[in-house]
Amino acid sequence: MNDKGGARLSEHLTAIMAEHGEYCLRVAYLYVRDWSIAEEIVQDVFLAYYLQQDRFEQRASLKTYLVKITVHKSHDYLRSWKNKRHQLFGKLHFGASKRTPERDLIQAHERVTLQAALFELPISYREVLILYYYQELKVREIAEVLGSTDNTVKTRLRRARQLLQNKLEQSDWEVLGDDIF
Amino acid sequence: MTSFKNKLDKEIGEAPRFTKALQQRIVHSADQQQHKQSRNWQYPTMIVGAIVTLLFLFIVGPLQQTVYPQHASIIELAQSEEIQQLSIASNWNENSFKAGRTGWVIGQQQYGKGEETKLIENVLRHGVVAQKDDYFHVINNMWIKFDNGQVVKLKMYRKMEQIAFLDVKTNTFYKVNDEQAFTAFTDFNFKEVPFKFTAFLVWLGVMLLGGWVIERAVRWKFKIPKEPRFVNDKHQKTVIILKFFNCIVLVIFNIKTWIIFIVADFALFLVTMLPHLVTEYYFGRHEKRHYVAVINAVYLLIVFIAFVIWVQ
Repeated sequence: MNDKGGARLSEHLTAIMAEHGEYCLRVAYLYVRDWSIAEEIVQDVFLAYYLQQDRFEQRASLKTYLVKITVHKSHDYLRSWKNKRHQLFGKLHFGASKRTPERDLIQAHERVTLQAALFELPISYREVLILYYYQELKVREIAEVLGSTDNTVKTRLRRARQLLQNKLEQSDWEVLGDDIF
Repeated sequence: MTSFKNKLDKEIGEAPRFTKALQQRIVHSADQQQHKQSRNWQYPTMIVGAIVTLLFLFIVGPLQQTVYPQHASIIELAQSEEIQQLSIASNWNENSFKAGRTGWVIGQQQYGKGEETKLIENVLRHGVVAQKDDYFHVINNMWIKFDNGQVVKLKMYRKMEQIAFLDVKTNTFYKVNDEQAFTAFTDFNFKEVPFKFTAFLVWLGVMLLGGWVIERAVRWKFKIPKEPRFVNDKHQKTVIILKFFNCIVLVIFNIKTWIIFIVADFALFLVTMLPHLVTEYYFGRHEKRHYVAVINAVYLLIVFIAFVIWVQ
């Protein structure tokens, strides 16, 4: 009976992952900017969901629920000593490498991409952009995921758009459109 | 909105990243985890630690069993030994005894070797065994430890121009007929610190305000909702049953006058707080409600220790 139950749960988990795995992974990546760490986070997300399924009270959609866990796990990682160590070693490594004209050109190009501009934003602004424009969640859903109010989310979205506008060229900026939250 | 998503997807790569291998790894981990459910070791550790501490306090404290040479009477003891420690508690009730080992009882006066102990030694040395009459009324209780380690509990009585004492253990009554000893005892100022009700009220107010501020801060920091007060019906029933149980325990402690013993108060604190912590952890962990319970418990423990230091 237990084996049957376990197999059924595994099937259920596989189905959930097939449907929601990809976007959870991408959300995690947009938080931590490292695919291998994003994979670890997503693994933790689905394990947490699998082991504590009874906590999902179906008040929100499963997508929102999984995004919420992903966001929390990503925050946990960003706050962790592991991340701080990672960042420190990253800085030391780049500091040691030589500057060349080619590298400068590549870095200048990278600076104008949407991704690079996004990663330059503080996490509180970056995450609202990710959740609103990339995950296409509503303001109310974002507020629920982040545990804040609708107005806070709207304010952060407005400021995040302003910050991003300063970093992007006009053609790139148009991807955000003129949204009224 | 979609243009943002499309552009970002192009930049970070449109090919699926969530591979079959990753899926299988997660399923494998999930299967393994299911067989060894994670154990929440913090709370059992805390409870075991608290119980061990309590037992330790009992072992080293009030239940300490040491066999000391027993003297025939208090008078003989007072004549051969000096008083090492003395504690006095005002108590007009014949049926209770409120003094105890120094440092273990709230609201008693405590003295080391000095004028006070000399005075009591003098009173005890002049005692004679007598019949107790109804005109004597009890004025205070004394816990005395002599140099040889022997401990006696005495009830001090007074009648007009006479004092007397009762050895609680042997139920032997002694009168002090010496006038000089009586005068010296009644004239002596025992440096009793009067209970300052205003200071107590201020202390209580600061304590309550501190508790309120801390709870607000924890709720704000961790975004813990205040409403609804209970997670579900079971939570509500459990909390009500616990409160009822706590009230009964409190009444028993008062009736038995255990409330004056610091160890008993600590036990009361544990009996009240531990089930509360476990309940909040069990029902409110998902919403981090148990953080409020944990911080409250820590705060109350600090307040309890501060109170004990204050009344000593």
